[in-house]
Amino acid sequence: MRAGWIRKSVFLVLAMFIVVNLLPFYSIAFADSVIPEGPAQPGGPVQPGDPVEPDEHVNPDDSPQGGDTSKGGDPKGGEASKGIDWFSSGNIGGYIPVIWGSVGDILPQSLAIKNGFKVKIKGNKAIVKGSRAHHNGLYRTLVHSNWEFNFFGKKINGKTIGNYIFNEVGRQGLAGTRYNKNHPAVQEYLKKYNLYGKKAANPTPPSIASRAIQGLKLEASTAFKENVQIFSKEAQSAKYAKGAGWIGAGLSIGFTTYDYAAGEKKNHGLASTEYVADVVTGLGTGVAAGIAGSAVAGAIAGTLAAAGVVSLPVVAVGAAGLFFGAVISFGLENWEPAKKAKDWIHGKVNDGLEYVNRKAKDVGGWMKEKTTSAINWAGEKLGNLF
Amino acid sequence: MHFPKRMTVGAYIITFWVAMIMPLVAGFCSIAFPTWSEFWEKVVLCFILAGVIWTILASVFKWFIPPKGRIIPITIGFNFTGIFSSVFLWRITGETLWMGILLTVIYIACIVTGYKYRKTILQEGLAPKTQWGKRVAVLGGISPVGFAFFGGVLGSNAGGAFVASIVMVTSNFLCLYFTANIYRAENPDWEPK
Repeated sequence: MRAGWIRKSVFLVLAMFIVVNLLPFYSIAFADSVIPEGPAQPGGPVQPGDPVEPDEHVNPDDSPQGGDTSKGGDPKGGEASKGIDWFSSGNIGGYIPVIWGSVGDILPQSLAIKNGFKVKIKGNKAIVKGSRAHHNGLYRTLVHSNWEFNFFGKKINGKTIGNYIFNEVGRQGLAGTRYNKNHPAVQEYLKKYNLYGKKAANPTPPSIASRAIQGLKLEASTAFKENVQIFSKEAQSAKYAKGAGWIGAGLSIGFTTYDYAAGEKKNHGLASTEYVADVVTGLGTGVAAGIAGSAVAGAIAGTLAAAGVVSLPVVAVGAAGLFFGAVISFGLENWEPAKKAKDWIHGKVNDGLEYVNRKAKDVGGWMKEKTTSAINWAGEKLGNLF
Repeated sequence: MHFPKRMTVGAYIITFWVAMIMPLVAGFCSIAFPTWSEFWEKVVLCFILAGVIWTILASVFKWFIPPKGRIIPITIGFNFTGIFSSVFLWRITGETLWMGILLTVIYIACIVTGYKYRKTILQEGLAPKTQWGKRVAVLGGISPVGFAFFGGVLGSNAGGAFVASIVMVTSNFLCLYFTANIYRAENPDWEPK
């Protein structure tokens, strides 16, 4: 019997992601066009009903012990003046994508790569050579293990999980599969496969400039497909393998939602245009940093391979991509000139949303006014008749 | 592995400076975070100056034509990525002495390992044979795009020390591989088995 519960729990997790991701769209509908001003500034006129939260506005000079960490304060006191947000609540948001990525993204491809797969072209078929999943160490370990896992009171042994991997993931794995060489997704993969490694052995390699542009275009175009067009066919057909993009996006939205619902920006609340603007800019810069990072890494790898300097394995290109992605988005958050630019975009998005909201309300008001006056007018006329 | 013997001066200059993007980005991080540092600004400017002098000399005297002249200077320049990103992590964790010593030891260990086992590392990188080589290659399954996207999410969410340590680890990993690449300067026609 197929282990249906695994599929069910996967669907449950995905459903939760979808619900979390739809929150921003709900909140546009419920958004209040008047943005809460936030807590009153110390020294300012304090109205009786104002939500005063002095902990969030602690001046490091006033209290050397620092703020209350539970409310987003800085435990090290003066450190905040250096401009780095050391203990942002989004920290967890950093770890989970990595863990998810290593489980959801590596598994299918690793089954093939681990056995040293090679791509052979025969006619219009690209055949992936390599042994199948049951030769894989993970499968063997699981099947021959005596491990027992407790899943909501149900006992599951290693063999079940191993068989699930073999049946579900192994079939999607690359090894032993024949792909249509002319399929766009396969072609993109083959291009990468050739660009970073094998074509360095080509006696007449393309020129440096064309190789650099090729690498840049290739990474940028796949990045676009995998991370931006999250519901496109390319992203969907690869199932678990390429889920990284939109799951990362989901996590980004999820943690912003947390910030506004219960975290640092609780005073704004979910029904504020600030929240939607934060989701939009956060997602945009994250994806942009990813695209830029992998594009730069691809350009470097392509150029150096053409010059015969170094042939980078995919994992090294990946490391370079990680480097650039992290540095670019970190710079956007923490380097003042870049942060100003980002905040400017954030402000513009917020202004736009507020404008739309106000207009919608205005239209509503206008309609109401017209309707009432029409009714009044009709009433008057009708009254005059009798 | 094919080594293109002919190369124009312009192509070499492009290649050199494309390879220097990573050290320069790491250098920028070492200057800018947590506060702007004038000392590290001078160090990075010296690094750029040295690069400019090398490209001029190499272009005039055609030093980049032989494999050693082409590969080794780029390798040396690229290895500054490790130094600068270690400085980035060191400065962001408060410039403590023990951290400085630890980072120096890690960096030197990477370079020494990279040079000593250069053939093995190249072989494992391009066509993994051993268990560990395959384990590392498996990470490539995330694909550069996936890596970069995680980098993007990490960089905007995680704290400075965490991002800096990720940057330090990736650049030291790349320095290890680039140092191993010196083997190809010695044997330009070597191919992985």
